[in-house]
Amino acid sequence: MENPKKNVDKNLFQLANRPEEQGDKIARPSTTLLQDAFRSLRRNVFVMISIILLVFILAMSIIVPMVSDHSYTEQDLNASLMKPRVPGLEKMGIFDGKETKNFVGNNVQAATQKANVAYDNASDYMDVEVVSEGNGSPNSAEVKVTYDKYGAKDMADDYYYFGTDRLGRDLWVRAWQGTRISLLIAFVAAAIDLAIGVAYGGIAGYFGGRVDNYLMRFLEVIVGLPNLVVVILMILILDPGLWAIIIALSITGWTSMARIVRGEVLKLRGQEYVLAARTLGASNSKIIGKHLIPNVSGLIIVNTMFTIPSAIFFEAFLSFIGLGLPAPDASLGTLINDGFTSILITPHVIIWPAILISLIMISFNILADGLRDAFDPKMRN
Amino acid sequence: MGKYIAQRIGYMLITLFLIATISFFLMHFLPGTPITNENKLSPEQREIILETYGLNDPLPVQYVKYMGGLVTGDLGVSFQYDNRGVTQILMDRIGPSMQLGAQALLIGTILGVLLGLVAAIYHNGFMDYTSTIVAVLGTSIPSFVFAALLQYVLAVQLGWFPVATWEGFSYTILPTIALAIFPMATCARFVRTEMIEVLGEEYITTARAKGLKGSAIIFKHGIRNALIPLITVLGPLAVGLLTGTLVIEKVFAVPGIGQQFVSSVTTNDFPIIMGTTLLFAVFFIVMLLIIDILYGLIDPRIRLAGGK
Repeated sequence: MENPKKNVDKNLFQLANRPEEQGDKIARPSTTLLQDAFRSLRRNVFVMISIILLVFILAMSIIVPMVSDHSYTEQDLNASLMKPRVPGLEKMGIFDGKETKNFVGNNVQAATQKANVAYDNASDYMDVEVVSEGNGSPNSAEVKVTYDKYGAKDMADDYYYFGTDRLGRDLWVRAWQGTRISLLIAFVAAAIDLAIGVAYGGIAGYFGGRVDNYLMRFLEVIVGLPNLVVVILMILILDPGLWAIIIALSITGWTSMARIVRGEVLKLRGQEYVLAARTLGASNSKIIGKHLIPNVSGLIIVNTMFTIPSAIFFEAFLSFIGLGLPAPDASLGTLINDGFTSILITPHVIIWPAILISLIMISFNILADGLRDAFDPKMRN
Repeated sequence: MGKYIAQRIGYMLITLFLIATISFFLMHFLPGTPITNENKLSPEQREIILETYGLNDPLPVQYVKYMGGLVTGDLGVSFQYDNRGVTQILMDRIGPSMQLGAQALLIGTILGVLLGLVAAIYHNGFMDYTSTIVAVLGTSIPSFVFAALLQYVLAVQLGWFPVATWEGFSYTILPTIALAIFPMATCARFVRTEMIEVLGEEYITTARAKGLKGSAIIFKHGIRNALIPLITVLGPLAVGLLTGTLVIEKVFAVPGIGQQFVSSVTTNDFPIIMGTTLLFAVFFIVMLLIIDILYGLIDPRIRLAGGK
């Protein structure tokens, strides 16, 4: 077989103009761990949507309670259980603050009369539509009454975007205030878990031997106690409030962080660069702080991101079973609990806090999943 | 193995003893007694009540009595329900909770495994995205939000199911679904990851090279190996159902342990709170033990020190 290369004229080739030093040039600027992770995060659409959503929710939870006309504790029994009403949208027939209810009676008059009784004879603000004329037999006639409560209560200029609760508190403000408190609890609890977990795990992993042994036996005792039971006991003992919940969540929460950090530090401390640092006379705290912690920071960030939604869930869970913040404070959990008691009659009270907590949880979980993939070099293409 | 289990049961008893002791003293250091706010009572009546419940004894005496009772399964007497024994109250209520938990775990696992397998087999297909969305929603949305939604839409608006309480099988459907969502989502996620990994293994390539049919590969080689690690998540899921039953039983007014606990928290019925706490602790610790033993039995890489 003939080699095709032989037929090529050598004069067609010429030497590339390539200076010696070009080979050593770094084509792209080096990236830090965070830059690298962020770059791969940016390609994930769902993660970016989650981040935008979370920033929006966080901003609203800070701004709304500050600028709103109503405070989250302000009660107005005259405006109790108002339906949501939003300017602009009301013209489209949704969120117009009107209540629609069907009344039955032996005939149309009787049914309408029942509606009149229910709505304090405010017939000017009632829009009666006959559903069925009836034939005189009991409850055969049915009328559909649309009642403009805002007009009847002389509040035509008021807008409660999410409506009001039983005590006439503005649910729009309460929902955002509740979000603020829930996020605050979650962030503080996560920060405490982070601080204790990293310090504990770092020390145990770095010093190893007997220190590690004692610290890990103690940790095992804590892990062995049922989480739920410890949290509930702590809440019962401490005065109910923000700090009780934070402390209760932190007491058992830091263990998983400590375990992860310990395992990773144990692996890393045998590496050459740690030996080099030690040979150069770096102190223990410097080696832990400057060399080991940055190298486990990816794991730490991911774990913290998973801690936040679980803290939000636990807070809401505690509030839902009656161990949460005392009234009139609001958190997403207490709002859902309040709304649940009257879900059959006024579902608008529970719906917004429920949507908010779900959105926050979903966003944080997607973000944490994305971060885990971003920090894991094995997941790269 | 026997020695290991004996050792673990020993630790278990010590942990339970500690939990019982700690919770006993915590409860008794709380300010006030169950009758502090009963202003109608005369001092003599108060004295009689405290005497009957043994609340006048010095704390160590009460402690020894309580612990003595524990050994024989006596959890004390409820403050709230006409002097009924806590053990009796809890035994009466354990049925619905167990049934709910078992049904939810069973349905959740089966559906989750199916969903995860289908997602992995049609990797990056429509079913895969569906199952991922279900998994994210199921693990994110709090169970009580989900329960309230189910109750409002399926029971109140559509009237397909009874709204609440516990009078027959149809009453168990909604609470079971609400409780099963989380295990289902977790299983789906876990099985999907495992199955994708297994399908990428070399023995699968070998099987394919041998000319095995696709279904034979998936059923004989794939599923078997993917499902073994599932046992490791089932334990934590069973423990997690405890948290679930507390809220689900409240939402659907199921007369179970969880609902009893929630109502005892609001009425400060400490003997019941303590009894339930201990019951939860026992369940939790026994589950941990079972999981650890299963780990050792199933995964040959984890052999316990001291031989078989």
